[in-house]
Amino acid sequence: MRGSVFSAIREYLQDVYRRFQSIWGSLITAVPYLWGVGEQRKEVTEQYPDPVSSRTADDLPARSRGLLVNDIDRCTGCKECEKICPVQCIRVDTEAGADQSKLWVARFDIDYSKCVFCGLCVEVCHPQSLVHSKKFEGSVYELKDLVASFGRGFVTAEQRAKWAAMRQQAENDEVFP
Amino acid sequence: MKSGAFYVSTVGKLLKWARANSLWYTTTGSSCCADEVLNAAGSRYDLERFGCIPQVDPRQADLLIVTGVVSYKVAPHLKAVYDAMPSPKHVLALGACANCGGMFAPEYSYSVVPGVDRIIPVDVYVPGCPPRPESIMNGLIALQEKINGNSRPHFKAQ
Amino acid sequence: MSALPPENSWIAFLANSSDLAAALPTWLLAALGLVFIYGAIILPSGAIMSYLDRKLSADFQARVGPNRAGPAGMLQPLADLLKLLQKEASSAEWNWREALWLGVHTMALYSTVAVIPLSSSALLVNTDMSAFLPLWAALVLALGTMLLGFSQGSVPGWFGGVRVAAQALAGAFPALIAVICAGIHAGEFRWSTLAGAQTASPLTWTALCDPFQFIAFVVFVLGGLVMLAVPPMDAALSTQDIHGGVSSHLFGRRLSLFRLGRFYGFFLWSVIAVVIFLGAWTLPFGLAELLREQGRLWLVLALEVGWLLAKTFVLMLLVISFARVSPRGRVDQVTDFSWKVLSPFALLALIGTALWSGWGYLP
Repeated sequence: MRGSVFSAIREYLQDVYRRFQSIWGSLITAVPYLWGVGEQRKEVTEQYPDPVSSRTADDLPARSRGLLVNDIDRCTGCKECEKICPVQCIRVDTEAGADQSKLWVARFDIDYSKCVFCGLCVEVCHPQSLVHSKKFEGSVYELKDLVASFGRGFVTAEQRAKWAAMRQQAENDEVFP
Repeated sequence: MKSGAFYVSTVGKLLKWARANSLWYTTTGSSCCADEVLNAAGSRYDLERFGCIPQVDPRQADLLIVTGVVSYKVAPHLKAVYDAMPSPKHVLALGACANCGGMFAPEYSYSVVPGVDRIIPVDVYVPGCPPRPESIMNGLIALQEKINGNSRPHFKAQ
Repeated sequence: MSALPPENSWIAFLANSSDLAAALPTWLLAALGLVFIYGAIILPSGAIMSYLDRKLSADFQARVGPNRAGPAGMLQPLADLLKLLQKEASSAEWNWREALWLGVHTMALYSTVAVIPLSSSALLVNTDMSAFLPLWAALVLALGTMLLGFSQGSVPGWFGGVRVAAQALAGAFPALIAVICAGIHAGEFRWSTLAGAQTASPLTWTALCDPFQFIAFVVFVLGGLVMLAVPPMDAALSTQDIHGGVSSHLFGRRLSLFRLGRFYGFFLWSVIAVVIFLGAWTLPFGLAELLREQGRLWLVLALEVGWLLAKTFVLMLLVISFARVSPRGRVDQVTDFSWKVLSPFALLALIGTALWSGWGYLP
């Protein structure tokens, strides 16, 4: 019978049967998903703004790299982060502080729009003041809003004079107790 | 007077609501941010919840999601895609490269546009390299609020 | 040929309902009735099916689907429509040829609202050939769509247009044969006769009363998918290889018109499949006769339309789930399938039906 018209018809019918079988099989496979039957077929969607069904910042892994934050009280103003930043998104300006052995971090700006979240600055930060937070939501309407300032601000002349007076006072107290 | 006020208050709100809840998007996938857009469109973070459907043609899209590096060579084509979209249209700049050139900024590369807002107006900037899918959805919600005219708390990192 | 059966039609209903209606000319009443059918049945069906389609495909992919617009995302189709109506074209993009052929396409499509059978008393055109009218309308629609694609002057338009025509030709033949099968069973191609050959019991439905009619039913539905380029047979409008085909140039109002038209073609085809194969509008438990005796004709009308639409939605959901689990066919595969699989089976069903129906008359 091989090669005859009957075998051709038989093959044709088998082919059609196989196609319909395949479509029927895929339909049957999809049906349990309608009701989420079984562990593999449940809805996996995290409905983001809803804090219950989606993961919040606290659920992120411990070493996830979110937006950078700087604890300015611990920052020494050594500018290591500024030097190592591959995209120059950190800008640090320092002045002499009240205690002249320490630096006054006048400006510590991080431009999140440039930041590539590589984590190099966090690794080189000696006082460990610069860390990745777990915050990741930072959508803005204006690009300039993406610059976060952590600095203390530039020292005014009056403040500087006041500090000089304080230092003088302290020196006098030390010399003539 | 009265009817004008009614239009602005009720019908205008309805039309804005429709625009905000049916942002069909097209994306210029040229980078890792495009993978995150695919992630966000997938089952885990379902962008279709917001009524966003990917469109192949910019004519049928309302939202252009710019992901990745825009070089000077590709800039005219991006502009053409934007021009092909019928207004009202919106642009979402995703990630450092689209925001300001990122690690391919002019300091390092001669061929990269420093930020897509030099070419087309951008509505919402999303930071990240690449942003998480949640972050993309955050940008989308920000855009919806902008279309609806709602006020939004100012972004603060601290 | 009586185009308006006087006592049994909804025109008579409308004319008898009030003095004002009786004073209006019949053509105006008919036009108003068609607008009402379009606005009150077809548009809401489109919204419901679009929502169910998106939710169903979301379920199949283990995700949620639209849920932010309105309760459970139910206003999503409304948002989409209102958004599309707001889109503005720049004057440089105004293409009058496209507008013209979109108009032809749309008119060819909605001319079939007049022949669409919705209940035993809502039959406007009920001639001895009325079951073929949708087929001719679908062919005119394919022609309009093809010329719409050509008028856009773009590669997707050209390829999409040719593909639409090829698919319509391929699908028309088996669908036509399948209609003839049902007509042989019923004895005539009048809507009322085709529906009257069936009762409320599923065993008397044309599709289930003999195996050849079942083949004819499957061929009719699949042939309609091919002919109207409905997923998964929508190679003519596929987004992957030809960038959306004819629809790639349309946006805003034109796109909403086009998409609604595509939905309407699918809806029409499903309604007709239900009417001629799946028991039409015959209400179970003898409800229609009971209510007619009590003189509640409007209730009978509403129930019959509702029952027909319910069956139509089930059939459409079945087709949509079939589309969502199968890959989209290439255009050569689709036309191949239509010519080489659907057509032989349609002819088989025709021969079988003829023998089955004519058995008693054979010597």
